[in-house]
Amino acid sequence: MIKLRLAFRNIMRNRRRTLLNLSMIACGLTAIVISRGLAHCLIIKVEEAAINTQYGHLQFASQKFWEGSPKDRLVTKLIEPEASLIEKVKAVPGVKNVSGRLSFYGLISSPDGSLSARGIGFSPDQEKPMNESLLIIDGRPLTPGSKFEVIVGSGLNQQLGAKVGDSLTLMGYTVDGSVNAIDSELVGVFQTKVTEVDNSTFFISLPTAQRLLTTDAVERVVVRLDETAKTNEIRNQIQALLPEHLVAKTWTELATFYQQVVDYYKVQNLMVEVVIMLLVLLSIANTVGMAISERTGEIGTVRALGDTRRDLVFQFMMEGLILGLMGGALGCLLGLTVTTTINSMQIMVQVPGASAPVAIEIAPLFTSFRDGILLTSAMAVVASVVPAVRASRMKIVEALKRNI
Amino acid sequence: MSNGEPFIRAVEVEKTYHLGETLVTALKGITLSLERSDFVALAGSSGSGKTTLLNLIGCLDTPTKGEISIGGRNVSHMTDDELAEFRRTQLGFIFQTFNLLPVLSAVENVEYPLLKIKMTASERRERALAALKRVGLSHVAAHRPDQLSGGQRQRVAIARALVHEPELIIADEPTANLDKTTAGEILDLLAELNRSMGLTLIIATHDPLVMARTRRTVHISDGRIAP
Repeated sequence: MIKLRLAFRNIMRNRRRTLLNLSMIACGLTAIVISRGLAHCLIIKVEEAAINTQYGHLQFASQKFWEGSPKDRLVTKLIEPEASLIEKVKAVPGVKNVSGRLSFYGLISSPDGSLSARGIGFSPDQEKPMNESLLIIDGRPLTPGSKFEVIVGSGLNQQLGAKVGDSLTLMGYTVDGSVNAIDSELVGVFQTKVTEVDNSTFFISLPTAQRLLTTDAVERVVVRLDETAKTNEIRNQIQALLPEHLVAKTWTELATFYQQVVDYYKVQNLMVEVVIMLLVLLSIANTVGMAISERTGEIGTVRALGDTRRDLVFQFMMEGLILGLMGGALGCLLGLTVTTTINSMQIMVQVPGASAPVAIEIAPLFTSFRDGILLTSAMAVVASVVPAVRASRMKIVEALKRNI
Repeated sequence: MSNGEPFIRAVEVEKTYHLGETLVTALKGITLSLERSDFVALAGSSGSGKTTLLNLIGCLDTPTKGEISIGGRNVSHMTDDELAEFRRTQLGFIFQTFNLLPVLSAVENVEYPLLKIKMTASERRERALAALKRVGLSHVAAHRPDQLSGGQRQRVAIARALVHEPELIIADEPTANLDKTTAGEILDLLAELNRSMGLTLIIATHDPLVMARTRRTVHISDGRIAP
């Protein structure tokens, strides 16, 4: 207890220096909390965007579809799942809805000209999150149950020179290889902020796409769930229900960019943490070094009184640990304050894959605080070791001479 | 000591050290015997080697040559940890500059040598307070060193030196930083401890007042015992 008291009082001896050290540790911990919390929220936004606007939670399609080349004839990749299979999939606990998609390359024409584009047929009522998450900058989204309605990307619409309410002609190859066309009303213009998509994509309802391609088949079936966390578990259950030629894939397998984003943030967080830890390490090593220099006489005294070298190293490590824990506690308060402040400022950013800007949010993750305290405390202890070992090797008689 | 051996025996002790590039021989073959409960002054001018000898007997340093045994134990070849243990259990130190830990109170300073001894915190505190009482400082137990006078600080240091009941107390110029009256009081106290507790006391000094109070004075000159 006396050793603990001694450690604490030694820390408080030079209050200004201690305050600087604590600030350093607290700022370091806050930076870790912000960096991880921000990355966590952005990853969740990207995850939501990927699930809502593109992939659903999981999809199943033919092996040929997953493995085939875009040049393969569409008909070779299509599937016509039996109604009973769809019902079985829908009955799996945790499944929210199930619906098909059919995409194709064709022409879209306005009175001003024709452009090649990618058409995606989906079910606006079954895939509500996708329908609703598209940022409509003019007009409205597709109406559930509607036929002969189309919404086009902003860049594509600009090139077509069309206005909401115009009739556009959609042309494509049927599954038999002949050309077919239908007229649809332009009901809305969307924007994803991904230029390639905005310049070359239009959405129609699944029945419209099937009618254009003269088929009842779909290229894939999209499954949405109640909880993202159960995706893998439910994928396995669904895969067990599927015939051999159909393969289910989760959104993480499909959204390759998502994994890239996660990896990127992991590396970024690691870099931030390494830099912070180095700063904490150097700062505390410097402080402990100065403290040892100032307390050389006392080191001689406690060694004369029977402290071993180990006792001395332990004493300085304990001081480092206390400094780290105090800085950590201060860092928790500072981290929470900064997090709350930034969250309340509603700073908007565009995240990859999301159609609209989202407010920056920093999740005050328990793990960030816990790891932050562990890391900074560990660094504080490690930083104390080298100068403490050096101090423990001082000759006692030399150290005693420094008592004045 | 049960076999008639002196309590402290130094045989042909030499100590050399480097001062820059110069090799200095501080002790040149000292042979010395001290009995248990002795009250001895190691006297000599500055640079004579008295403090070096005191440091060697106090196990704060090891001789370059020769042997030193205390209470029958040869301390010349002990490891660093063994020396620390020996100092902690067998020796008490009183320094010229008092050397109290400034962030601890008087009683906490006195408790310090007891920290590694198996006893409860309250037992430790009791012993420290008893030691402070013995030196007449019960009333300043909670004071920090900077709240004490020089004489009081040295009394606290004496209490710290005797709290763990060592066999030998090493004092390096214990009165050098004190006024004459206070120095006299400290010497009275040390003499009383020697008498009543049978403590062996070795004091390095160049103060004739101290030499007059010890039972024996060993004069050191130029690294040797003066005749």
